[in-house]
Amino acid sequence: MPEILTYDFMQRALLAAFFVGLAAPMVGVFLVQRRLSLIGDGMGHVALAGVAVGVVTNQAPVLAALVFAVLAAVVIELVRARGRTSGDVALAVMFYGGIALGVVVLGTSESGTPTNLDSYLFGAISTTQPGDVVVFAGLALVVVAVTWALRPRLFAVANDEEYARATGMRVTALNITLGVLTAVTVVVAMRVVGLLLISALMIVPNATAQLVARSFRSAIHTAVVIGVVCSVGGVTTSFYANTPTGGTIVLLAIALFLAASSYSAVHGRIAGRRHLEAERHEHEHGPDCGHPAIEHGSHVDYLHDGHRHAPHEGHYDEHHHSDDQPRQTSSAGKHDDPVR
Amino acid sequence: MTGSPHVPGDGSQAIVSLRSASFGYADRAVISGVTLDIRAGEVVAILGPNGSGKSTLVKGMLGLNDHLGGTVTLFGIPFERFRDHGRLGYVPQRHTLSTSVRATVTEIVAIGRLPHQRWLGRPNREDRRIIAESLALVGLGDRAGVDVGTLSGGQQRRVLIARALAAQPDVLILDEPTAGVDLASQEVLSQVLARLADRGVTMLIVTHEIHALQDVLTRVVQLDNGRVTYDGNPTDHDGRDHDGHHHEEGVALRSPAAGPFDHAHPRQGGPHA
Repeated sequence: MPEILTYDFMQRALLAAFFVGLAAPMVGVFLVQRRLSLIGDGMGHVALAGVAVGVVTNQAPVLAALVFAVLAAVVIELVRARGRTSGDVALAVMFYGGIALGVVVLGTSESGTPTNLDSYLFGAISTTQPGDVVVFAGLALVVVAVTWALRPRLFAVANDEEYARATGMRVTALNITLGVLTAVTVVVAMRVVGLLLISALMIVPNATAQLVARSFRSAIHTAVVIGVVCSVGGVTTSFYANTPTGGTIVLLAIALFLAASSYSAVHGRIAGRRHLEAERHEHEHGPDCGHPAIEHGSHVDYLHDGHRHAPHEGHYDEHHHSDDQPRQTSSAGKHDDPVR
Repeated sequence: MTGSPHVPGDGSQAIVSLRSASFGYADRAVISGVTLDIRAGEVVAILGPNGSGKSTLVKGMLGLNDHLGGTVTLFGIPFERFRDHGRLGYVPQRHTLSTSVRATVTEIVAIGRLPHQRWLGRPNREDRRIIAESLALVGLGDRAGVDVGTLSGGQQRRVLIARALAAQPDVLILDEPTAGVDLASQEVLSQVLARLADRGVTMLIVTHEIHALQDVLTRVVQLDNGRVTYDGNPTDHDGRDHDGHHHEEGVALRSPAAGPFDHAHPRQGGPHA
């Protein structure tokens, strides 16, 4: 058995990291889609006020944080739904108020040592108690299950709210649900990566997945894999390298993001050089455009004045451009297309 | 629910029926006193200058703004009690789709199937067939798997039409489907609308100008300043010099006078009422 697994507290830490890595990107993709990537940070700020109230009143800080974060989620959505520009400022006031209140209240309490504050702001995964892991696992599984069940509708609402409303979807209820899911994720992730870095685990794996995936579905799957790899890998790395866990996890996620960015930049440049665009034309090829359609592997080419035009993004590519003679029959199965 | 899209039945019942209806936002009515019946099989253009209330009228029917007066009946059911929103296929006015995350053409069109799916349901074979058929109808059958963000503006409009068709609606409500796209795309869009009209799809098309749609329209409703100023067949409307244009050429209209959907529509006042 590797050394890391011989310690009970590290076993618990790895489990907690696994659940957080699983849940955070699943919820985060809808925040990215709605262009609300920073909303998790705000909820984290408000959750700190909850932690402080919990510590001072000797209640469970995690539970108090959960209540505060969920309330914040509902308020955020209601303010957003009213669509006032002043709502943006109102939210900022709420977020800063939350973190300021948290710091002040924690500072006045006897048990509120600076270390205690640090453990919430930056995570303290190795201090996870056995009971905590059970609670985190339960909450994370609820988040994963609800997000999975609602995925088609959350996607529809985030994609086009007006259309979703026109088809009779409960848009506001779905948005509030997403807010509550975000709040629960924030609280679950609080002990692992800390309130200041929570958003990173919801957003960065999705940013990376967007660079490599081809569809929404595959992007979610990729993001979840990246999330789990980063959180579990980050805990392991921090154990051996003796670094703070939360920061290590996030740096790992960002390293993957940078690697994916450079890969997609290089790949895009090579693909751009290797494919030849057809001359711009006003005409759009289609089933009844009059140009013979030729099956070409996974797509259809259209025979246009002896050239084979293949739809690619907003334009057409020249396929078989080295060949002036149209070969309608010979090339159907085997294709030497470098791009597809 | 079988084939897609619905081919309407006998057309006896009005799909949309407005009686002195007013719509607007908060307490401000943008559209007022509109009386209108849309029946199955009709292809109606809602015409009017910017700010005349065209979009407000159709959004009102869809429940996207406030119903401020009069009565609205959808498929014979009073507006307030109407729940079957999937029967109205809405194609919103969008210059581009949201591209904050990757999504394939199929994934966007699949949204149209949601009213037919249970909460835990996922697209089954029948859903996938209808999605593919809707895409073929708008001429995007060969683009099903591509990221919508890579498509041209005109192609994205057709994705939105396919999304509405996938819901198998009884009427398509299109808000400015041809505005702001290049000429080639406009032509393809008109062909798509003509193909749908040939299939007997009822359509309500909000538009600035009807030249591109001449062949498919059975009726024109002109709005100005929140009121209906003309409601009748497109030929008569064409002859009127309401916007400074005369269209002399004999346009082949889709038999507006003899078709089965030729109902007498009371005109709401004269052209300058």
